[in-house]
Amino acid sequence: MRCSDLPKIYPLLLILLLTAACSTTRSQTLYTVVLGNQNHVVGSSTLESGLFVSHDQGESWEQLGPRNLKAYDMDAVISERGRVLYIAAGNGVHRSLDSGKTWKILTDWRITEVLDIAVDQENPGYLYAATAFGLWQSVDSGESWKRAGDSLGHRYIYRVELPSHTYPRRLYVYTDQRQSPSHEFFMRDGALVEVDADDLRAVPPVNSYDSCLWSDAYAVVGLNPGTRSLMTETVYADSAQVYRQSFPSSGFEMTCRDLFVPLGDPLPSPVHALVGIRDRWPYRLIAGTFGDGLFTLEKEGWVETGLPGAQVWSIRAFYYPMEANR
Amino acid sequence: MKSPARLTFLLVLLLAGSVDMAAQPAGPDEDFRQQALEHIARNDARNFHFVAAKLRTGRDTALAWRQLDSLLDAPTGDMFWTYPATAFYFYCNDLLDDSLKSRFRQVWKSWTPYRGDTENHFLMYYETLYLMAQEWPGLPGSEWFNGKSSAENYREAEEYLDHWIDETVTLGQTEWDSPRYFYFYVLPLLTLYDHADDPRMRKRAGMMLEYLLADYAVDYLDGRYVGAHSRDGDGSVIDPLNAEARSWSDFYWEDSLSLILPDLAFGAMSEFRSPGIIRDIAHDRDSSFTSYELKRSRAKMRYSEEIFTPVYRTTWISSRCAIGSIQGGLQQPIQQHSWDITFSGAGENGTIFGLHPYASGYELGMFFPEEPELMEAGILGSKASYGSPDKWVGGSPFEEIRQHGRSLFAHYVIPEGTRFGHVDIYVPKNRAGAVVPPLLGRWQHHLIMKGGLETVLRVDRCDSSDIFDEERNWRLRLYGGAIDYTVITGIDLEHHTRESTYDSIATADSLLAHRAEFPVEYLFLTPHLKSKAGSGLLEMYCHGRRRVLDFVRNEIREE
Repeated sequence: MRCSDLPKIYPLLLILLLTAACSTTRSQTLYTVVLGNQNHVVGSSTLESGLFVSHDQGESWEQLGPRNLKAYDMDAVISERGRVLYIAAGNGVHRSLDSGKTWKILTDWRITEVLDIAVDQENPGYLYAATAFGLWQSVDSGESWKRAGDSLGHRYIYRVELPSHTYPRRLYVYTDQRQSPSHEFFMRDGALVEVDADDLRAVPPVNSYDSCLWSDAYAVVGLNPGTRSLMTETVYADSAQVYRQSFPSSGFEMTCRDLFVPLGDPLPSPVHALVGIRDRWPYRLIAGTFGDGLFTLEKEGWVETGLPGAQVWSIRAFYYPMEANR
Repeated sequence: MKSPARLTFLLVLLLAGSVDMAAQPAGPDEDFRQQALEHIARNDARNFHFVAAKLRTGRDTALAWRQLDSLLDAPTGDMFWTYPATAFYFYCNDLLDDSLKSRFRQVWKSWTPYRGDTENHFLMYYETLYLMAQEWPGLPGSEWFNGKSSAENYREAEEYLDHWIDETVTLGQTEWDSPRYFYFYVLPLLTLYDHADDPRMRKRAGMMLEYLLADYAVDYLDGRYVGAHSRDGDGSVIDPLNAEARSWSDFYWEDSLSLILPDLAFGAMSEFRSPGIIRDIAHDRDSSFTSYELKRSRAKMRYSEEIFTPVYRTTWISSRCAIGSIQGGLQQPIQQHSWDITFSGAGENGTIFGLHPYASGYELGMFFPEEPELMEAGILGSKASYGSPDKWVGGSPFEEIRQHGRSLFAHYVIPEGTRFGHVDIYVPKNRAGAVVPPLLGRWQHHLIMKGGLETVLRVDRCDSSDIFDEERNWRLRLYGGAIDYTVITGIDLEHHTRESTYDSIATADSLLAHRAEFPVEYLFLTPHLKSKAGSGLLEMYCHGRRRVLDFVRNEIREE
């Protein structure tokens, strides 16, 4: 190797060093939340539903918590005692203080069909539960709950998000499966104050091409996930077909189809969840289907990667310091 | 010594005062109950009901113990497993040794049942939690499947049960008058009535049993649960004599075991007796009458400003037939039954009804939280009956019904692009007489004969029609974007000419005018039942007697 070659390999060396550094100090954990199976009916034997965890980038999955759970979503936060997990489920909000060994249902008969749960990472005692009958808030780690967001009433709330970089803290509320929030709140003295409707879109949604996301998109992921930067690359699923954002080099006549190109062949059932994980450059994509489990995109196309038959509702990726990964 | 006048006064006071339910025995006697148990014990299927019957009667006990062992090994079926398991645990508690009780304990520690999403699911879930928390007090959350302590579970279950009772008796049921699901209410309430330690809960459970039985009794016609139903079954909708609810009405009001549901095993062991006045209400059909019942829809998650929308249920009933309806629209998913005419007497399939076979993600999304499109694709793929153009249960947002007495008008405006653009009417062969003339055009009349009674179906508007000759029935199929028909039943030709009756039957306009007649301030307004919305009182009347269920003071008064 000649010295003149060194500049060419600097970026590669840097990536390798960073990768090595990350692998020693931070750990990636994937969680998949499974609603049920194709043949689920109330009262039947429900197999393989609930929360699943993978510590090996989706190669293998272990079930955490109740095996018989109509579960929709989850969230997690690191506390002094370790990782605290929350599941949003038909039975209510479930919490584990010991990384999934034991669980408690935090809510009572008043709260049902919890579709999403969001923990304020900066103030982990604050929780938000999206339900089919309105939004609920807890300011004491789930010990008690009250209705939140007066303007929402008993509306169907599909999702809540607490992006980490907003100040003051913002809460985005989705009243349907659309990919843009319908309501936006900020917190004042622990209470939710709705952002004026005119100012609703002050913080951009997941990407700048949201108008190109077809209304029946169930899953959108901005890469890197968890950020709301305009520079993120977007992958989204339109039913069973997954698309990736492209960057055409020319032309003012671009259509949405120019901006998004298919990734692989259509999957066997609709894609309800997508996540990009950083185990390889630039990322690896995992798709959760509603009825056929998990798939990952390889060179040869989509390949099954676990939980066969599962109706996957959501997939979450967390990056933790190693000491918290227990 | 007390004077005769004073004694009489005291006697009147006693009669008018609060009465204990146990002082009103009526219905099955001990022999009858034993007979029921022995009949049920002959069944070898593996469930808690049959095991209980075998152990109580001493029949095949070795098999029963093996089955119990196996049932406790692998709980499955969520609250449908817990409610008979709880009934078994309490009704057969004296037969269980400590090791078996410990196995029940383990189930409630380690197995998480789904709480469900309907009224009957929640009742079953919290009834079992209430009784099991009572049975095992003082345990920490680590000893329960949900992580809550015994005290937390007991308190939550008690709160829910009280909430459900109060809401039902002041605002109306959401899963109302269901021939299919009625029985899921009876056994949980029986178990509470017999085994709750708290006398207040026992009393309330007994009163709710009476409340639901009275609701059934006023719509009871010779073994059938008549009128509109929140949820009906594919079988019972065309053969009302075969509905699950009949098992309990036979047991309580007919001293009969013609249709034996496994739950009867525990009914036979229960101390509960249906009061005589409810039995009399079920049988008092000397004069025809119209009853009005105000109910609520199932909780609506989407496409509705209100979670619960009012359901106006009207039923005209006589000794020979009944006609009942709600206003149409979507009030329950998948299994709604919006109107029917049902006949008394022997014979299967004694009913006439119609529907628009509607199926969509819109309906599913209204009542279930998952994605409407995914549910539509899933359920249309897996449950053929829901998406079938030939189905016989289900509501439609495009159906509007008005009823006045024994006349009913149904109006459909079916938009283009709707999955199916037709309306079907079920006409049983064994009730229809020899001839159902084909529809030749507008204003043709179907004359459906039954002895001296006649039922007329008049199609006022449709584009075209077909008649399909099916095994047990005719299917009258009406096509068109706008379809109107009127039915009138119970025409007694001995007293009226067909022409005079027909000329006087209500027209669409006059029926619409009767919409305002519905007494919206009452949950029940019938000659036998009266309950003002919000009052928490249900008054029962029959043959000069009056019995009041007072849920505010938790007492029963009888005069």
